[in-house]
Amino acid sequence: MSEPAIETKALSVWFGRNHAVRNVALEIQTNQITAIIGPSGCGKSTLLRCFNRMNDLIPNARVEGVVLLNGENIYQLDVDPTEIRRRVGMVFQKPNPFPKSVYENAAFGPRLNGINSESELDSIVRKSLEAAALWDEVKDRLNDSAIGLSGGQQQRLCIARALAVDPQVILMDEPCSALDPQATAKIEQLMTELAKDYTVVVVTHNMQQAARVSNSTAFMYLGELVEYGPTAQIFESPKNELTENYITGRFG
Amino acid sequence: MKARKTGRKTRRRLTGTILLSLFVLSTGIAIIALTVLIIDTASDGAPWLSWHLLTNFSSRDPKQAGLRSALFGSIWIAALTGAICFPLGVGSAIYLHEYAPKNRLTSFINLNIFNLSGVPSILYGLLGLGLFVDLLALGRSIIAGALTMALLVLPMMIVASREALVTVPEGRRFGAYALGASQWQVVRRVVLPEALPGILTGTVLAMSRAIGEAAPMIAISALLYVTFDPTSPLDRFTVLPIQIFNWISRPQAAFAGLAAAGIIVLLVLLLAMNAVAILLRDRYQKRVRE
Amino acid sequence: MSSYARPLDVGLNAMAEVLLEMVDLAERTVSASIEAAAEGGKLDAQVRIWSTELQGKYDDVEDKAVELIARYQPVASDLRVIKSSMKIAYDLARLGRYAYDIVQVLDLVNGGKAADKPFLEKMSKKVLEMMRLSFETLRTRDVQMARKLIEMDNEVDSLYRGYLKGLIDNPNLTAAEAVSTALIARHLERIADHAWYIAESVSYMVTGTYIV
Repeated sequence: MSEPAIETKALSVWFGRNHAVRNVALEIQTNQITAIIGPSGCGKSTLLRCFNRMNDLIPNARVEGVVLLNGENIYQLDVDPTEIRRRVGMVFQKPNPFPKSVYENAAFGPRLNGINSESELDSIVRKSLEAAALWDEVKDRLNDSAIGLSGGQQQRLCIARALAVDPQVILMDEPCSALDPQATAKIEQLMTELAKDYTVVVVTHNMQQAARVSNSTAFMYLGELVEYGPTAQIFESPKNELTENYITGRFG
Repeated sequence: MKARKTGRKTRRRLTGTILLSLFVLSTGIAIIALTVLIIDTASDGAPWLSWHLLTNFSSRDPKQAGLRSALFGSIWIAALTGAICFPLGVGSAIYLHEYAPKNRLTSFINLNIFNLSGVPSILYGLLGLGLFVDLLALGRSIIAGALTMALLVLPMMIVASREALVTVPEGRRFGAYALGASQWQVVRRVVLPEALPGILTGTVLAMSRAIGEAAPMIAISALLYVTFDPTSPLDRFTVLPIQIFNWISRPQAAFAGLAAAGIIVLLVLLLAMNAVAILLRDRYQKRVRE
Repeated sequence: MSSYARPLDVGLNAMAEVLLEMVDLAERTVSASIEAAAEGGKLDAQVRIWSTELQGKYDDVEDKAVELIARYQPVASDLRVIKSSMKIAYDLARLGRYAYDIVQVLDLVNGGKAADKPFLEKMSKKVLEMMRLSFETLRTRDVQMARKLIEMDNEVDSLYRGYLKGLIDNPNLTAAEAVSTALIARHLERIADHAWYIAESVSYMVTGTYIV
């Protein structure tokens, strides 16, 4: 078994006095899809945001503990968060493409990193859009506004945008909540493809989705990691009664 | 039973009709008053509109008098005010909205900026007189006037810029951060491009206010008889409101007509600037709606 | 944590009720067939009817299980209950079938008069005990109770094999006696096996593993 892509030790997050994530120890395996499930307010999105230091942007957030990316602690003092965010990409619940053209959206990340040659950008944009299963649908519309795309296409564009900086890990925060079933199915298919080259962590409130796409599932409740294991085992015979009650719909 | 129900219904309908009539009436009064004013001015001033009105300097002879210096002055003031106000206003707005910590001090500053836009303009005139004309020894020059007007419209500019920044949804910023952008990159590449039309609208509106204010300009320039073209920011100047005021104060009836013509020119200038502001705003809304 | 009746619970309860009906029916059917073997009475018509009824109820349970899976995407314990219910219903239907097979043997061999009654009495007593214990485990979901069944199953197995060995060495029995007893003993042994399978399914339902 190779080294886990992400490993957390005693990870806690406070928002003021609210202890939102409590002492979580978790290993995310490389080239797999890990799902994080739990009722609203259980801290799953907050936990996800620890992996790319997005909690730094929230005013009264305080993070304690260790998050290892390939064995190195990303919360060390000398680490530049923007560097981490290039290696750990994120896709949000509501698709948020920039009000620019499709091409410029995909090229945004590479431009940030100083890549400005047209030929290089063309190639990166094409590869990212292909990897996000969007190229065929937009190849004749690269200069059209991204806002004109459908919801599902916009979300795939956001995925392409994240892929364009060649990350190692892709975080997805309820990526399909705002989409219809067909768009959702396309993205779930895409996730499985992406897991071949990247490590995928997806937060979802849809348990069936977690059961469908993930290799491992983590269940969180009130900030704590209650259970974590292979998805087939969690959904057939969970070890913890809380997990059992949540996934069978007896609460939450 | 039924009679009471219908009583309540008819009363409700009656109230609605009365209120509607009142609203229509008040709107009507405002429109009528404005129309009467415009028509009155237009009829008084129309016979005096001519090409030489715009190209001649002011004169004691009404037939020779023109708005040339005032027009140049107003345009100079508007341009300089815009140039000074734009970076200051946008910069402040960016700092306050994007960088400043969200604490009570920042809220306090924001509140007071808003209050500043309500300060009577003559106070700015006096401030400008003391600070720019005397203390900084800039004299009664265009630059002193522009700086004073910049102070006057700066609060408005900051508020308008901040409004434009606020309309950029938080999600876009997060999207940019998640790609590894630094704070400045987020502001420069995501927030500003989207907020720019709104900011430009604010700038144009600020400039149009700068053209229209008489009191501070009177305080600064005082000189009401200008017969040269200003060629540098340190030159003396006059502006349209002052020239109009000057003509109205003259006893000859002819000058009343000239004043009306001056008002027409001023209104046309203001309308043109507002039209530009509206065009910019529409283009901005169209992009967002896509 | 609030617990409330989920739409799935209605279906699960209905399925559980049918299972309990099958348990009663299976008990009656097996007891009747064993009584027939002992007393030689002609109960085969009744047993045949009951066996068919059991088969019908098994089909019902299976249909219900598939419906619940299609509609509710059940997971964890719900899923295990549904899977086990299908298996248990099958085992109960088999019990009925073997009971029916027993009375068929009696039919073939003149009302069972020729069967080795003392041996069969001994074996059937053990098997009935096993079956009743298995049903108790199902009703109470007590996995510990299920462990006793391991030993009982071994005893039944050795009884059966012992008898078969003895048959070969015993020249005193007629062919009719030997065949009828051997067949009935085999059906009893299979009944014991399925009683054991039911207990295994109860363990899976409760713990997630088949190991008792």
